[in-house]
Amino acid sequence: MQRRTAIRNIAIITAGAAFLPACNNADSTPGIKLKNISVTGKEQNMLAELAETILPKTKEFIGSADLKSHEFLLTMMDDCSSPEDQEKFTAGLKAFEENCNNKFKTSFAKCPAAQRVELLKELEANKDKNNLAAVFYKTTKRYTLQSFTSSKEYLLKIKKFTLAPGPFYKGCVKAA
Amino acid sequence: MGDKNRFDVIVIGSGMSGGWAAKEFCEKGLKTLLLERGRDVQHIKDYPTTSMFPWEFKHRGQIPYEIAKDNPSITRCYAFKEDAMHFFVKDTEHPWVQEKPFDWIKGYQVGGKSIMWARQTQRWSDFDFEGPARDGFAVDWPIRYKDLAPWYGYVEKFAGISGNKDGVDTLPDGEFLPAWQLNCVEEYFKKTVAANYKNRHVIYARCAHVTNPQPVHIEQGRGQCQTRNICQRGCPFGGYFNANSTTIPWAIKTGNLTLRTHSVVHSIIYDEQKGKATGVRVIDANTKQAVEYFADVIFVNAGAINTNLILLNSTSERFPNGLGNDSGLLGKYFAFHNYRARITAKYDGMLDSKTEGGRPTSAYVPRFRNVYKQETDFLRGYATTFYANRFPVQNNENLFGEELKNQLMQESPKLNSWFVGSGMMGETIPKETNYVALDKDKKDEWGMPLVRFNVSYDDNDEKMIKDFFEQYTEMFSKAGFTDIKTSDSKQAPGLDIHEMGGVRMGKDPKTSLLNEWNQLHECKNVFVTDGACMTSTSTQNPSLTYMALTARAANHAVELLKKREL
Repeated sequence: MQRRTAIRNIAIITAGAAFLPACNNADSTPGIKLKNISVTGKEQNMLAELAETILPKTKEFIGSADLKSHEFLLTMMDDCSSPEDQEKFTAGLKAFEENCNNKFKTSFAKCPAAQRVELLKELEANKDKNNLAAVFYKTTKRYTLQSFTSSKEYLLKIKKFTLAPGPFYKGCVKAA
Repeated sequence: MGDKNRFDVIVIGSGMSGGWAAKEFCEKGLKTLLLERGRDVQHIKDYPTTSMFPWEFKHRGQIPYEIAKDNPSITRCYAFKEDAMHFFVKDTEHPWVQEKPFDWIKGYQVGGKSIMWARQTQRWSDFDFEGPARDGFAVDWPIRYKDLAPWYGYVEKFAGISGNKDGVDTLPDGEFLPAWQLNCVEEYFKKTVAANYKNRHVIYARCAHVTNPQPVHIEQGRGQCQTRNICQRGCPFGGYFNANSTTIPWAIKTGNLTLRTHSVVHSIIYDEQKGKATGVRVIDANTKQAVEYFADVIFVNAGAINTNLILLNSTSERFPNGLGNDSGLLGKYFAFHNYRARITAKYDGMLDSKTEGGRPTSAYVPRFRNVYKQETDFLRGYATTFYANRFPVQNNENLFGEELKNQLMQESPKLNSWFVGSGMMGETIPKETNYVALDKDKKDEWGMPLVRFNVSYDDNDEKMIKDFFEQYTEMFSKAGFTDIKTSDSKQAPGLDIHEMGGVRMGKDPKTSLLNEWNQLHECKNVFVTDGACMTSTSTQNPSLTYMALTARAANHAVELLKKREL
């Protein structure tokens, strides 16, 4: 009987392991589907929080959450990054959360603003290219910025972008 | 063989030069078959990304890793981005053999690479045509500037070229539409160079943009350039020259053009009795079936490398080593432009000024080395671009949250001082040891042999880069530019996308393939007027010269046909 239970348990564990990535995703809130990297729904929520911390919504203008910048970040990591960079990113994501947990005994998503600022200041100052959390943070910041500065709202409203600027080029105008 | 496969003229390739051949023949009333190995691309209709906003690109322009990994050569091309990647051929789609590294950049569709080209159009002068004879390399060009000058004017007027009459003897003036301005720092550099050097000129780079549409451009359906600077996607205004908006619809309008796409030319058919070419053998790219077409005249405009491939593959009892190749030089003396070197700096003057709007060109410095006499330890020289611009200060380090956002929200962000730079465009010396050849075993999916590349830089190129760095460091220093940085990309030949030669023009059939009218010496009804015909490379962007050579040769062919001499 005991032996049988043990075998059954092994079978369950093996089956579970085979479906691990799917299980991970199913574990928590849903997120966007990814082909190459594994980031759970909960982790995706954390990325959304982090992106919003980097470029928040303000009175005047929308922020990262409105733009779903974390989804752009995930798409770029999934489609346009090398396997090595993808690995660094997902490992860095975990290191970042661990970092937060060690420091504040809670996840980044649950951290109050002051603690988030403290954490990000530290990572900004960290120039170690081998520090997974710092590299992850800088990658996230880069794509959050790109998502913001290439967004429809930003380009049309702030940058007055137009697809056809017109025939004129002024080679010398007064700089403000 | 049915009549439906018989034409007056066959033009192989519908790009930069083939479009011109088709236009000239159709206008003269000749039934013309234009063969294109790729798909059709109709002006505006087939520019799927032309009106897309930056945020509409899923990867904001970046190429997905899976594509980049499998296609390293095309991925190195500056224009191979998400917005125009559908106009380029991936490495895996048409492989080649690199005995030495060569990045072969290809565009297989109607219009070819004329859709994505960089649109710089500088004339050659006799300092270029007389180069090989004076300096003892390659062979003497069988033509001089006076032979081509009227044809330069002819194609310039039709294509629409923006430029200034500069009166510089190394870069003859042409038929120009108005130029955009040089900016304050470019003008300033022009003055300091003129004050410090004899015969060094900073001018506006002539480019194939319609700045003031003339009746002929309006008749083509083209309008004024709107400085969108996303030309590689195809332009809904027809603001720049490509074959799709200009030469090909013009040819179609005559009713004399038959355009056959998905047609990979296997070889040119040579008739031993008649002693001339009678047609071409085509592999249908979709069905892989062979089909033959016949004509009195054949123009080969497949793009320099594929033109070499077709001729090398056109073997017969008379020409066992490729059509017109008694000299054994077919595929040899293959050359390119040396685009490896770049210099940048900053300028802290004129900080009360900036530019407004964009401009699809820059300033240009024609070759000044070894022009009037040999003066360095290397042959020939280089032209360069010159550009100046101010970019917003972007220091995001240690910033996040509202502070970072506020910086981005500034309507007129603080500007850095002027960023200036020059890129070298060096003439390379054609050599017998630089060649393209057919692989003996490997074939592509259409049954054509793969092209083998044995093309590399030499000592002359290295010395030229060194001189460019020295001269420009001095010129920049004299202008008060600081923080001068030189860089050598070490890029492989091919990435310049100015591949030339292999079927060179010359006076003597023993040392060249083509005569002064671009006819094969030994098979006079076959003409080559794309990059393959080039005897030497000079420093100028070559497309304008291919267009002029093509129009000239096509009109000569019409004359010969009238006299029944072909």
